[in-house]
Amino acid sequence: MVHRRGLGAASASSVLFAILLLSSLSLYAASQERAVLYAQADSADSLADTATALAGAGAANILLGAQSLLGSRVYYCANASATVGREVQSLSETQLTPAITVSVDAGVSAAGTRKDNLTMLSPFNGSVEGELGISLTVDEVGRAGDSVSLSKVEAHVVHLPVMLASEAGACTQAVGEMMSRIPLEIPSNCTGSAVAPLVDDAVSGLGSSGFESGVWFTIARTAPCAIDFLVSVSQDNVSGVGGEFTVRMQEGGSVTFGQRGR
Amino acid sequence: MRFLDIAVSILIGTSAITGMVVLGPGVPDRSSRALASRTQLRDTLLALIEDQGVAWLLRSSPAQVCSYLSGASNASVVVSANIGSYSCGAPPEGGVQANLTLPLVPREVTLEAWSTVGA
Repeated sequence: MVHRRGLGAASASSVLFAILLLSSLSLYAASQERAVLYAQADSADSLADTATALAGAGAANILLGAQSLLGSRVYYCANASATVGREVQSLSETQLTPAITVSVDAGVSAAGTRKDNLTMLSPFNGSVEGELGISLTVDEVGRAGDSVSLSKVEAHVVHLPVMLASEAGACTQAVGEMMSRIPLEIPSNCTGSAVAPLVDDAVSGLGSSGFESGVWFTIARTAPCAIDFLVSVSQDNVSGVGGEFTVRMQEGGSVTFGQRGR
Repeated sequence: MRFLDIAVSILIGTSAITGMVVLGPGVPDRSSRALASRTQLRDTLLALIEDQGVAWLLRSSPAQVCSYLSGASNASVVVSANIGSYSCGAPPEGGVQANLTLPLVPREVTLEAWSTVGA
């Protein structure tokens, strides 16, 4: 009897512990599965967040590149927009990490005011009518392990508060005024002091353009009186993504006093 | 025989308890919690970048960035950064860590966040 009770007790405890062990193993398997899913979710989130950060950095670098180009030279008023357009289209950025590649290519965006969700570039995200708009094509490709991958192409638009068309327009208008009005004038004599008021009067509209501007001239000939002139317009203290910069453009010409038509 | 039964029972019980301890759900669950924490930390860093903006990172001095991040930290989450060769400071020990790097032209900025609650 004692032997049968002992055997029964051992069997009962074996069954009980086996049930507990199996229950624990099933919980372990479930938590293992959960851990795998969490790892996949973390990998996917990491890829997405890293891609967003790299895209933002790429876009910022393109804005910095555009800002550097704009502030480093003096443009000709007549073709400033076309020149800047070519320079912007040459800008591109590629960000590489072991898991992901993000490429950002720039172009000139169409005119108009549009919003953009690249908020980390604020206040330069989106486009503003009259300001330099830059379209961005962002290509993101990445992989994490065997089961998580990223492949996405996005279009964005950013801008710099450069009033390129207005500045070039003020400049070319001033040049046009010089070319059309100076021939109608006859100075008292062909000296700088006599010519200066006539020049100032011809470009009087330039002062109200909203840009920093100036007109310089030299006497090219005295009979008939002719001058070589240079109109210079600049947009100073433009607030860019990397600080302030100035956009300068100029256009020159030659004009003779007292000649109606050319 | 009685002692044999008792010994076998003890052996079975000890083995089962050992198995439950070793193969319990605790270890994978701790790993899952750490991964979830890291995901939240990374989302926090991205939200911080989107809130302040890349222009702020470019225009601010490293000391200004570190000062702001220090103010953004709290008892459970510490935020720091490496701005070029400048480091905001030593990271806390232990916990879960996440980072995001912005390879900007003037200087590379790596934002870091630690959860001090523990893995």
